[in-house]
Formats: sequence, C-alpha cells, structure tokens
Amino acid sequence: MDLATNLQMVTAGLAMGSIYALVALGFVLIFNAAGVVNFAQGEFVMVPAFVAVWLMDFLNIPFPLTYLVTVLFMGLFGIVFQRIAYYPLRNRTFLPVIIATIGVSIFLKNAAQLVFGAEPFLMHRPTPADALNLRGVFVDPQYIVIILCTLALLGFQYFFFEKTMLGKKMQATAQDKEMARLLGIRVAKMIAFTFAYSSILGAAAGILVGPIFYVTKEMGGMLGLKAFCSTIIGGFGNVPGAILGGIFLGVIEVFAAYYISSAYREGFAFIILILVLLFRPQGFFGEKIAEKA
Amino acid sequence: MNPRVAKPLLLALLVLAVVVFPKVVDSNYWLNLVNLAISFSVACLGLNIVLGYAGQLSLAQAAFWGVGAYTSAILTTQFGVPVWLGMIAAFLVAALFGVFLGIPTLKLSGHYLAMTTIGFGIILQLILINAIWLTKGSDGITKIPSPWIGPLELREPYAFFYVAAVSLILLTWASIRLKDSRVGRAFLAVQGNEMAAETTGVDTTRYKIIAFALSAGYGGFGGWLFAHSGSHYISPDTFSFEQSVMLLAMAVLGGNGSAVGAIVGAVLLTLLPEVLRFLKDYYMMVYAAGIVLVMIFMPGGIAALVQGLPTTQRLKRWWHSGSEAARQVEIAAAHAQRATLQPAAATATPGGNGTLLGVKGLAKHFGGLKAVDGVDMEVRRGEIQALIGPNGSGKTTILNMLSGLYVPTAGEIVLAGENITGKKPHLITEHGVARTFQNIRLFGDLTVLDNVMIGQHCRTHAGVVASVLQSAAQRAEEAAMRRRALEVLEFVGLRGKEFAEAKSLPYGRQRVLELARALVSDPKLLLLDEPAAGLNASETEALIDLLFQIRDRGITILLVEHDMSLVMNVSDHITVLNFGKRIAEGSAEAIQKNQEVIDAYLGMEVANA
Repeated sequence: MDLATNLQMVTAGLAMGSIYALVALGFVLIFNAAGVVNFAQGEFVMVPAFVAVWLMDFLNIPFPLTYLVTVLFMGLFGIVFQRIAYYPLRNRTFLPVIIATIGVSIFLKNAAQLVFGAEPFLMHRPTPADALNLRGVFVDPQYIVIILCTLALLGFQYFFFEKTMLGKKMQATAQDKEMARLLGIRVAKMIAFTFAYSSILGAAAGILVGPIFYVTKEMGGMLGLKAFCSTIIGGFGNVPGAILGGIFLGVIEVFAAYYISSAYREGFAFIILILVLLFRPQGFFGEKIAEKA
Repeated sequence: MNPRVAKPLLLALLVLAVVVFPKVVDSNYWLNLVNLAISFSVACLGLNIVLGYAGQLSLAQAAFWGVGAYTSAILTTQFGVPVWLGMIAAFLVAALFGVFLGIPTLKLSGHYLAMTTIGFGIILQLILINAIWLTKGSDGITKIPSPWIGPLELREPYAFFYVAAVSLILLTWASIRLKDSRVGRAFLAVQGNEMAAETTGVDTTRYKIIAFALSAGYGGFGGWLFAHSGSHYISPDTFSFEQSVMLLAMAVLGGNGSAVGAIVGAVLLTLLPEVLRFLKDYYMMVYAAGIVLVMIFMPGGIAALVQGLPTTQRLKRWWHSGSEAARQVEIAAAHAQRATLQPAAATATPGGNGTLLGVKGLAKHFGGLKAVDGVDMEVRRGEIQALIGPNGSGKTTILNMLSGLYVPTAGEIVLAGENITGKKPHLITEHGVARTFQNIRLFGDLTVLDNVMIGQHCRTHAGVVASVLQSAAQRAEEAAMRRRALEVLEFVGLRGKEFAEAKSLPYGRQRVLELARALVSDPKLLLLDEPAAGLNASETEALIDLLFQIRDRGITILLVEHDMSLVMNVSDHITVLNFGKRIAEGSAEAIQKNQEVIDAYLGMEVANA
C-alpha cells in the first residue's frame, strides 16, 4: 500500500474523527454538568443539518447567514430540549432520563421524516467539489475545513471555559452542584446553558458533515453512538479524552474499513469499545474513581 | 376465602381462559397479533429481570430476540433440527451471548451496559446482513416450520396460540418465583444499593451477569415464538435498535419490577397501533411523545398505579396472609420470649484472647493524598475496639479496606490467620467480616425481613434452577433463613416490623436494621462506622447495651465513632489515628491521659471529664 493512499485515509479519518470529537464533547459536557447520558446527542447533529438544508435549498439563504441562524436555533433547541427531557426528571435515577432522551430522539427522527420525506438531501458545499492535489495526495477540501473548524472551536472552548466568568460558572456547576449553588451560581441556568452549548457543537458538526454525508433522519443515530464510544475510549467524563477518543476512532475506522472489511465498517467502533472495556475500562485518559462509602 | 384455596381455583380459571380464548376471538388476524404480543411479552419478561429486578439497562433486547429467532430458524430450516429443540437452543444461545456481553460491561456502571448493548445490536445486524451463507442476508429466512405434537402440526394461529400461551404462563411463573428467592433478593439488592449488596456478601458482578443472561434467554425464547408463527419469515431489519427501544418502552410502561406489568405493557403497545391507525404518519411521533410523558408523569408505570389502589393493597395483604413467610412470622411472634441469638459455629470462639485481626503497614493513597499511611493495628478476639481520630484521619478508609471496598496501596490484613488483603468485599464477608455504613445503606424498597435475609446470602446456596423449581432443599433453606432472620430481628428489637419497607422505618430503627443485616451473616468481626451518629440519648443507650450483648456472644467489634462517652464506655481497647497514622493505642483510661491524643483530638474537656 502506497504512502499517498494512506495519507488520504489519514485525512479522511481525521475529518470524520473531528466530527465524532465534536459530538463526543457535547456528550461529555452534558454528562459532567447534569449527570445524564443524552441518547439524543446524534439528533443534535441531524436537526441542524436539516435546518441548514431547509434554509439554503428552500429559502436560498446564503452560507454565512444560514450557518449563523442554524447555530442560534440550536442554542435555543438545547434549552428547550433539557426543559423537556432533563429538567422534570433531574431528581430521579439515570434510567428515566435515558429513556426520555431516547423518546425525544425517536420523536425528532419521525418529525424530520414527516417534514422532509424519506429522500436523503445533500447539503450545498461551501468548498469546491474537486479534490485538492497535494503532491499526489488527493484530499477533499471539505475535510480540511472540518479539521480547521474543529480546531478553531476547541480553541474557542478553551478560552470560554478557562477565561470567562460564564465558562467558569459552568465548570463549577459540573464539578459540584451543591457548592456552586451555595456560592450563588444559578445551577439550573448553567445546566441549561450547557445543553445549549452542547447542541451548538452539534450544529457545527451537522453543518460541517452535511456536504459529505447525506442528510437523512438516520444520520445522527450512528454518529451519536460512535461519539459515545469515543467518550468511553477516551475515558468517560474526560474532556480531552473525548476529543482524542473521537479522532482516534475516526482514523481507526477508515483504516479498518480499508484493510479489514468495509461491510463491517459500522461495527469496528463497538468492537474497540468492548476491547477497551475489557482491558482498560477507565479509558485511555480516565482515572478510576471509587464511590465513597 | 383462604388464599391457599384460591390458588388452584385461579389456576383453573386461567387454564379455562386460555382454552376458550381462540374460540372467542376466532379471527386469524387478531390471533396472529396476540401471538406476536405474547412473543413481545416474553422478551419483556426478560427485560423485567435485568432492569426491574437487577436495575441494569439493556438496550439490546431486540437483538437477543433476533439471536433466538435466527438460531432456531437456521437450525430448523438448514439442519432439520426439530422445532422443540430449536426452542431450547434459542434460549441457550441467546443466554450465552448475554454472558459474553455481560462479562466486560457489568463490572462497570449502568451507562456502559446500555452503550455496549446498543453496539452489540448493531454488530449483530451487520452480521445478519453480511453473513449470507448462514443467514441468507437481507432476504431473510422464509418457510420456517411450525412445531409438531405427534402427528399434529401447530400451524394455524389458534394452535400456535396454545404453545405461546403455555410458554408465557410458565415463564411468568418462573420469573415471579425467582423474584421471591435467594437469587431474586440478590438481584434486588444489586438494584437497591450495589455497595451494600457487595458488603452483605452478594457477588454483584456475578448476579448482574446471571440476570443479564436470563434476560437474554427470555429474549431468545420470545424470538423463537416469533420465528415459528405469523408469517414464518424473519429478516435482519426486524431486530433493530428501534425494536429494542420499543421493548424497553413496553417494560417501563408496564412497570419496573412487575412481571405482570411487563406483559400488560407489551400487550398494550402491540395493540396500540391497531387502535391508533387513524394517526398514520404521526403514529411514531405520538408514540415517542408518549414515552417521554410516561417517564415524566408515571414513573412506576401502570404497575405502580394499580399497586397504589387501596383495593389492590387489600388484595395483596390477603394473598400474602397465606404465604409461608407470614406463617413463620406468626410462629416466631408466638415464641418470641425464647428467641435468642445463637452464635453460629463459625463465630463461637471460646474466650481466648488471641489476635483476630492483624493489620500491618496498611496504606491507601489517592494520588498524592495519603489517606492512610502505614498503620499497624491488632484487634483481639471477643473485644470491642474503637478507632478514633479527627475528621480525615483515615478511619473510614481503614474500614473500607478491611471490608474490601478499597484495595490497599500497601500492607497486609490478616483475619484469623488468613490473609484477606485486597479480596473482593463479598469474599471478605464470607470470611467473616460484616459492616455497617456511616450513612445508612439499606435496601430501602425491600421489607425489613428481606433486608435481613439478604444478609445470609453468603451462608446459603440456592441457585436459579432450585429457586424456580422450589426443590425441597431450597424450601428448607428458605425457611431456615427466615427463621434465623426473625431471631436476629427479635434480638435487636425489630419484631413486628418484618413486612414494613426498610425506608419507612425511623432513622434510629434503620441503623438497628443495618446492624441486624450485618449480624445475620455470622461475622467473626463486625465493623461499625459511626453507629451512634444521629441517634438520640435513649437510642444510644440501647445501642450500647446491644454492643455488649453482641460481644458477649463472641463477636468481635471494631467501631469508628465520634461519641466519646460511648467510645470510652464500651471499648476494651482504643486505637487513635491522626493524618493517616496511628498515634496511640491502649485502654480507655490510658488514651484519655495520652497528651498527644489530647492535643490532636480529644481536647481538654474530655480529658478532664
């Protein structure tokens, strides 16, 4: 196998991995803030993809405005979502919340089908369709956009959580709700913001992946599940772990599909997941945390 | 009417209902639908075992349903295996998949199982689609045969209905019996409080795997019913994640933990699309919104609603009055004055003052924090020893290591000559160490009696098969457990509360119940973490009395406590910790005079007292 093909696969893997990382990040932030596993995380990607398709294809709104409206819409969406699927159930065990998020996810999928039909859409590309030829390595420019945008978002996130008051309040809420509440932080509001931010990360993923992936009601399901795998591979609850886990998974998947079997492409993430659970259940970056007696 | 008479009568009614049902319905369309509902019901009964009993979320029930369907379909169509043999294979193969999937995931918390089960479902679908040589791929398997009884083919929907109905009744019966047995109580303990279950002697990982395997087996059986009825055709897309969610919704709508509830949920959601046909494309949305609403407004599902009705509660009490447990409690009450706590052979340690527990160089570090840093300690047989020290000095950490919840960073723990360092909590309990917790950890939803019976888990043996068949040995063991539990309840003064929910007891009584649960495991060494915390003066008085009585029965006690008057009153020996190190050791008088202890912990007041 020649170097050029391998490099092409690395780029594709990094791009896909970036998408996983964005969704995985959304997962982890919600889990840390609210202690909830959101099984509708994939729909946080599907919904903005449809919104963007609708704005561009049906209303002919230009790219930048579409992106802006989609992001704002998803921020709102996150807040409404947590009000339905999380807030009323916040004092119960993890089970009802998981089931409620699954319920919302089924609802959204079928709503999308009802509005847009079963035919898949392809989102307009902001980048040229021809592959770039970088010294014999052919790369889809959208891949590069995905990787760069993800990096930019991660940079923004670092700045936001480390340098702004709001970000710090959100972190405080994630670490210790009781203490945060005593310090006068409005915990419920911070959690709502976290859902909004997580949903905006989904918007970014949806907009970025839309042009290379068909936009269908099912597009989010697999993305969400693989993102969840990424979080466990990286170390559940660990933010850098989720990002690196996502990227790792994206690259591995491309290579495994090429060298092992493309028919089972969708299964590798879960095989890796089971291997990780068997041999390093705390993930690559996680620490073992014992429940306090 | 006496419930003992009512039982066979109800059974006769049920048989009659099954026999006449196809005549009453008399429509192949509806009978096929009912057969499908029964297939779902069986799968939901399985979910009810893993989720309702053991509290673990599985999102792959449709996959196990598929494993069962495909196993039997492949065996019967390609290898000519009889359909009845296919049934057994469907159950076993699915259960085996459950074991393989359970081993890596069930050591961890709930989310992991949920996630891994989804992954399993997806991989299974990929295999069903791609392994064409075995599964015929996306085309699916057609012409799946019907079961035969002698020369009679059970092909017509009404004929198969009898197969399905009998299976459902037997499987429901099995799962109800299982719930009220040693195995079932272990499942419920895992759900109620995993850490407490471990330290009460339940091998939690093992029981989670058993629950999951049984659940998968039930799923496989449901799949068998599906494959050999209706259209006699199966294809990969039936066994999807959405279907797993549907099964979950059925089990949850019916009510967590109730077998009958699970069946009601399955039947309702199978028939619902028929009723809601007018919704057409909106059906799935209405269904999804329904799931969310049920979660928010009906947390216990239909079962909880029905169980809350006064009539149901009266019925339940009436039914219960005929049970073996009620009879035993009555007898125990009649002989109450004679009930005493007989130390079991294992604990009857003749007076000798040898060392029971030896701890050498014990350490536990959390990252850079040295919570316990090289502690040596000895607990002598038949004594009450106290472990005291300021907050954060490592007392509870030591108890956690002694009971196996923490694995020591370094050091050695020897109990009665046996090294138990780093052993799993349930094994340590079996070795004869029982404990209570600083913040009470009871199985709140279970009765007082059940709580104490779980305490004997590691001293008893009945497994799944014995529990379902209720063999003579199992019944005798159950009765002996109950007798012993009642003795201990009498001993600690909780008689008359046997059938109350543990969480309904007042705080002080809950502490005592936790103590009873620990005592009943026949410990050599009893670890008590702040037993007097939150007790009022008279309750503390009673506790002190109880502690002496326990010691007089040959059980050694190691307690962590902040109530200094209690500590000085009961302790034969005191060990003082500060910053993870032992700073003093000796009798109560010696400790009260020790300057270092006064400086670090006691202060002047106690020293002067």
